[in-house]
Amino acid sequence: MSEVRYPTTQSQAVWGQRRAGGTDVMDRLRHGRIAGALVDLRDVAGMEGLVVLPDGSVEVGTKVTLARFATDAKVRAGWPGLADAVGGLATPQIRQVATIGGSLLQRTRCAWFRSPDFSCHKSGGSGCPALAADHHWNSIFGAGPCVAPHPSTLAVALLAFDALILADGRGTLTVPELYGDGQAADREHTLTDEQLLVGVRLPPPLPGAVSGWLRTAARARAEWPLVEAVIRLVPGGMRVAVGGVAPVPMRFLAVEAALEAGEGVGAAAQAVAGAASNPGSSYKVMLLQRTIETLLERLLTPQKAAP
Amino acid sequence: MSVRQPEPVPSPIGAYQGKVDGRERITGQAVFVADMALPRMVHAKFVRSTQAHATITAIRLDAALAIPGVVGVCIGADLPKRYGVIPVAQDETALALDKVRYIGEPIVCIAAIDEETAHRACVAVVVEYAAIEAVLSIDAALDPAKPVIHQYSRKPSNVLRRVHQNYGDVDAGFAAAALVLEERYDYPGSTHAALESHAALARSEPDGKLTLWSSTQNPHYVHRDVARVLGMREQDVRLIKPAVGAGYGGKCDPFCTDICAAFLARKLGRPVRIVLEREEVFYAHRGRHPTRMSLKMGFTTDGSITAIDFSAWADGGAYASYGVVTSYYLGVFMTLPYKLQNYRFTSHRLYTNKPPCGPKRGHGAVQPRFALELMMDQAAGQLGLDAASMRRANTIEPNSETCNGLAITSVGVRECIDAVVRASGYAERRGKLGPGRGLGLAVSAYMCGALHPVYQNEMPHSTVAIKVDRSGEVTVFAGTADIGQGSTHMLAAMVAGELGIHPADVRVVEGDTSLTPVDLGSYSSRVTFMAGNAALAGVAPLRARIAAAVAAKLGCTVAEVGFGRAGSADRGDGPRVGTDTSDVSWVDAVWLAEEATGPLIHAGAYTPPKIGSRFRRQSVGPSPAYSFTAQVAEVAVDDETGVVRVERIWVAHDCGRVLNRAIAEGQVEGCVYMGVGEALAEEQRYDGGRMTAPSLLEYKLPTIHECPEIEVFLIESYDPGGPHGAKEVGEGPQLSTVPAIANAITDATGLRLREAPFTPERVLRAIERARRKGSG
Repeated sequence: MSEVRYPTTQSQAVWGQRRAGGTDVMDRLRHGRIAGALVDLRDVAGMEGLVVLPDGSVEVGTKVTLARFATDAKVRAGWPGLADAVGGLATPQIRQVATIGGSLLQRTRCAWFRSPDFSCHKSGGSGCPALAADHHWNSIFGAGPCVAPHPSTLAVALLAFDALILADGRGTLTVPELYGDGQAADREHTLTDEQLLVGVRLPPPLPGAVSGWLRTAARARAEWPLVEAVIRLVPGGMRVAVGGVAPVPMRFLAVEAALEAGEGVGAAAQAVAGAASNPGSSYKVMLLQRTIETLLERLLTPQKAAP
Repeated sequence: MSVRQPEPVPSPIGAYQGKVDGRERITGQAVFVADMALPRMVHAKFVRSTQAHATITAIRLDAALAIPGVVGVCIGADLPKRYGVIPVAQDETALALDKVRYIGEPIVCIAAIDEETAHRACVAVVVEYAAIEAVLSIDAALDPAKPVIHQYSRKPSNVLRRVHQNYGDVDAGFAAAALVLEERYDYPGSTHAALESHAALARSEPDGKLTLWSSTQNPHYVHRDVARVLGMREQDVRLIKPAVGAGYGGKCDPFCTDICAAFLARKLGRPVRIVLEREEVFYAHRGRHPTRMSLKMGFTTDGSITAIDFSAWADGGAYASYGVVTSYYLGVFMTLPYKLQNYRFTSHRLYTNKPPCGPKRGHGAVQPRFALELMMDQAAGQLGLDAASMRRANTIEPNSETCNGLAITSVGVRECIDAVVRASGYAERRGKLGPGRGLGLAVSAYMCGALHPVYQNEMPHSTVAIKVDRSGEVTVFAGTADIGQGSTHMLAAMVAGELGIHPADVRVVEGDTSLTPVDLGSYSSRVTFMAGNAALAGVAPLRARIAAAVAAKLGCTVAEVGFGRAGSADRGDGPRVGTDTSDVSWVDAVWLAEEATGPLIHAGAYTPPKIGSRFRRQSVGPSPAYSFTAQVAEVAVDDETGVVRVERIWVAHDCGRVLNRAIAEGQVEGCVYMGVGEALAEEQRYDGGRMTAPSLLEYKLPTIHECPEIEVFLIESYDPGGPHGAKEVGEGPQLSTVPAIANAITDATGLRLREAPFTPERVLRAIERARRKGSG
C-alpha cells in the first residue's frame, strides 16, 4: 500500500496525490496508476461548508459530499438542473462519500488509461489505444492526443451555471480555465501540485431561469453518460453545457445564441457543427443533437418538466 | 378427548415457503470459502498473462521469492496434466505450460503469509514472451492460414467442434413453403456476475489425504479432475462445497483456484486459500458464447413451419470448457416448441485467444432462441397473422416426439401463451400503444437435465441417502450443490412431505464427497428433477416400514396409517402417525419401526429413462422432460436518444408442478432480470484480446432502475417423470426474455434489431438508417 499522510492544514496538503472520498483515487491505486504517497484531506480543517453569501450566491467547500450538495434545499431551489445532475450521477453509495473536489479533479475513465497493460498519452506514454480501437465512447470535439471525454458530470453542471472555482494558490477560475484543453499528460485540469481546489462558488440564481439535466446511457445509474446535457433557460443567460462529447465539459455557444434569438427546440441543430467523429463514435453526433432537443422540449413545455 | 392442534402438518409441496437454509443466509452466518480460516493458513495469488497468444520464453521468480513472507510457488510445469469436464476436450492446465492463449490466463501461483504479500510477489515476477499472431474473431478462427491455438487433437484446427444434423427433407420443406425468410443474427458474450467470486481452500491431512473446500456447482466433476491432475487416488481427496454465492454456470468447471490451492497445500504442508478478485473472475469467465447465426425458415400461409435451416458460429475463447456441449445445445432445442418435420443445423464452436466461454444460464440455447423468436414475429407480420395465435396453433403435443428424436412428455406451452397474452392484453394492445411503446411476445423451451452424464457410465445420476435418528431427526445426505437455487430446501421438502414432518426438521448434508452419495451437479437444470426423484425413491421404503410398524401397533391396515396428523396441544407434541381414532407420536413411530425391522437408513437413486435417443448422434440434448415459457415484454423506446426502457414483463413458465412457490417465482424473476441485462447493455468488448471492462462498474449489469415489474404465472402440466410432476424452473425462463424485448421494440418502432444488446447507440443507428431509407 502507498503511504498515506494526514496533514491538518491546507498548506501541508501538497506534494502527493490528494484524497478526499477516494472513489477515484483508490480505483486508480488498484490499477497501478498512482505512485507515491497519498495526502488525505480528512484532517484538514475547513473546506466543508455550504454557505449562502449575502448576494445570494453559494460557496461550497471541496470536501462537501455530492449527496449533501445535491440534496441541499438551497441548491435544489436555486439551481435545480445542477442538483438533478449531481443527484443522478454514479450511485447513492458513491455520492455519499465522493466530494466536490474529487469529482472535479478525477482522472479520465477511459478503459485503456485504467488498464495497467496499456500505455498512452495520459499514462506516461504516447499514442491513443482508444482511438486505434475506434471506440464508441470517443470525443467528437476537441480531441487531441487523448480522445476520452471528460468524466465529471458536476463540471458540466457548474459550467451551465457560470460557477467559479476557488483554488488556493491560483485564485478564482472559470470552469474553462480550470480545464484548459484537457490534454495535459498527467491530469485533466490546469491546477499545479501546489494549488489546492478549496471550493466552488455558484453565482446567484437568475430570476425566471428554468434548468434541467438529461443523460443518455444504456444504464440509468452507476454509469458514465454517452452524452449528457445541463441547460439553463433564461433570456440573456442561456446556457447549454454538454458532457461526454469532448475532453472537457463543453458549452455550445451557437445553440445558446439560437435560443437567445428565440429559436426554441430547433436551436439544437446548431450543436453538431464542427463535430468530428469516426465510425465508432458517429452515433454521438446524432445523440448530441437529440439529447439537447429532448431536454429543451422538456424545459420549454412546463407540464413535461422533470419532477 | 384431548385438544387437537387446529391443523395437521401441511404438505410443503406447492407452498409459498421460506427456504430451510434461508435464515443463515440473511443473517450472514452461512460460511463461504472467503469466511474460512485455518491455523497456519497462507494465501495465494496468480501472475496472469499480458499476451493474447504467445510462447513463454522465460519465467523469472527470483525477485518474487526474495520477498519476506513468500512461502511457496507453483508454475505450469508442476501441474502438466490436462483436464476438463468433457473427456473428449481436455485441453486445460491450471497454469499455462509453454504457451499462453488469452490475456488473464494464470501462469504462476504464489503463496504468502497474506494476500498483500502474495500480490506484491506476483508483481515482481517477470514473464518473457515470444508473441504469436492472436486469433480474435470468428472469421479469424475459421481462417486456416491463422495460427492454431491448440495442437492436442488429431487434426489441429481452431474449430473445436462442428456439429451437423439433418432431419426430414429440408429442401422439400422450403419448396413447399409460401414464405421463406433468411436472416443473420448476432448475440454478444456476457458474464454470470455471481456475487461470490471463485474460491478454494485446501488442507493437506496428516495421513497424506487432502481436503478441498471449493465454491463450485459440480463437486463430483471437480473431485475427479483435482485428484487426477494431482496424481492422487480419488478416494484420498475430499471435496466439500461450502455455502456458494451463486454460479449461473460460471462455477461448473474445475478452476486454477482448486488445483493450485490443493497442490500448494500438499507442497507446503500448510492450508492454502485462494479467493479470486473480481477482475480475475472476468478472466476465469465461462460466460455466454458470442454467437453469429444464420437462420432460414419456411412457412405455409397459416404459419406452420415447413423447414428450418440453422447455422451458428460460437466464439468460444481459448479453452474448450463445455464447448462441445454448447455446439449441440445451439441446435438441438430449435425443434421446440413448434411442430417441425424438416430441420437441419450446423454449429461450430471455435477457439479464439480470449477468456474461455462456457455454460451460462440457458447454456447454448439463449442465442438460437433469439433468432427463432424474432423470425416467428417477422413471419407472422408478413403473413398477416397474429403472432401469438400463429405460435399457439403450431405448438407440439404432449407425449410426442420431435423430428430430431426428443421425447416430449408434458407440455404446458399453450397455457403459458394464454396466460401472458391475457394478462398483458397482447391481443388488444399490441400495435396500439402509440409511438415509442410496444409489446412483444416470445416462447421458449428448455431441458430438465441431460439423459447422459458427461463421462460415459451407466450409474445413477443422483443418489440420496436418508437416515432417521431415534430422536426423530431426519438427515438427508446428497451430493447436490446448493448454489442459492434452493436444492437444499427442495430435498428437505421432498422428504418432509412424505413423512409428515416440517421441512425445517430435516437436516440436509450436501456437497461433500466423503459424506454424501454422488449427484452429478448443478448444471443443465437437472437437480430438482433428478435429486428430487432420488429423494422420493429413498424415503418411500422408510415411510413404508414406519407405516407397517405403526399399523401393527394400532391394529389397523397399513393403508389406514396417515403421516403428519394433528398432534395434541395439551401434550405439546408434534406431528403424529396413525388413524382418526388412534395414533402415536412421530418419535414413537420411529422407535416402533426400528424395533421391528432395524436401522432406519435408506438410499434412493435416479437414472434417467432411455427415451428420446432414437438417433445415435443425438447424445447431447435429450432430456427426461422439457419446460416451456412464454413471455410478453412492454417497452418504451425514446426515438430521439435510442434509450430502451423495459417497463413490464409478464412471464408464464410450465414447471410441471410448483414445489415451492417462493423459490420458483424467484428463479423465474432472476432469469428475467438476467435477460433484461443481456437485452439492454451487457456485452463483453475486447481490444486486441484484452477485455476492456473487467469490472462490475464498467461491465453493464442492470441496476434496479432497469429492472421492470414482473408478473409471474406458474403453469402446472404435471410431468409423469418429474418428482410430484415437477420440471425445471431455474434456466428456461431466461430464453424468451431477450426476444420478447426485441419484438416489443419492433412493435414500438417498426425496427427489427437482429443484434443484441439494444444499446442507445445501436437503436439510434437503426432509427437513423430507417429514416434515411424512408426519406430516400
